[in-house]
Amino acid sequence: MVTGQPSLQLALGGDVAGITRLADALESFGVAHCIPAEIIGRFALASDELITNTILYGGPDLSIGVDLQLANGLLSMTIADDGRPFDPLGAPPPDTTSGLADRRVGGLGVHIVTRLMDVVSYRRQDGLNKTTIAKVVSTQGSSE
Amino acid sequence: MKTRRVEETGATVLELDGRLDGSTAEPLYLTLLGLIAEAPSRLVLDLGGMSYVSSAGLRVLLLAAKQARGNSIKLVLCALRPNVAEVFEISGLASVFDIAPEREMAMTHGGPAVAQF
Repeated sequence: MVTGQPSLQLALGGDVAGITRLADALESFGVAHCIPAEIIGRFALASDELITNTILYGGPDLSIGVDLQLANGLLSMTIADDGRPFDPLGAPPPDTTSGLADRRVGGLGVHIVTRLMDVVSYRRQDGLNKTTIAKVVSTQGSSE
Repeated sequence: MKTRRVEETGATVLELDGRLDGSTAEPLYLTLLGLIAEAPSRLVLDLGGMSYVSSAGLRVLLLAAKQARGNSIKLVLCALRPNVAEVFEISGLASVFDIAPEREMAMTHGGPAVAQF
């Protein structure tokens, strides 16, 4: 916290209202730090998918913390929750090839996250599930 | 999310406006089931005003498409914004739906209602 790098911390409850609140906060962060809207859109969707999953598996009593950091051209977000151990990356890959009649949509959320981001990782630490997503950013309008 | 229904010649059009996510997917699904129950020959979803879609939204669109096909209704999506089109693409769903670039093309896209099934 002494680095002076742009960062954002947000505490959310275990309900979906927090997802739009996070999306709004992301948008403001993006404008304040000249991050392309396309990148912010990716983080909004990826965090929506991960938090929706977390709430689905962890229930409404969760505490969810979001930590966003911009450092050295990398925008990264860690989503932590105090639910039972759950690795979102442990799910089987989704069906992305069969036709309409047979198409299933389970697991699609995490698949979307991995396609939107450069880095997706999970760890269990201090009794928390922590999922980190990151993407390289070239900021607009910087002074150099 | 707001929806607006427009009757065109040979098609019922539903314009979607706003975010299609975990909190708006279910109400939209009920709206779509209601329209499908009316058995139009063609149902066009105009996504020009849809700014956002998550997998929860994709899920109900897929369910509606299956339902429409089961009822011999031609369901066509049109006017996807680039960020929305990208989510369809990476989900592998772009090839599952009938998607037209513009609304006018959606009125004839894919031929008559049931011919290609």
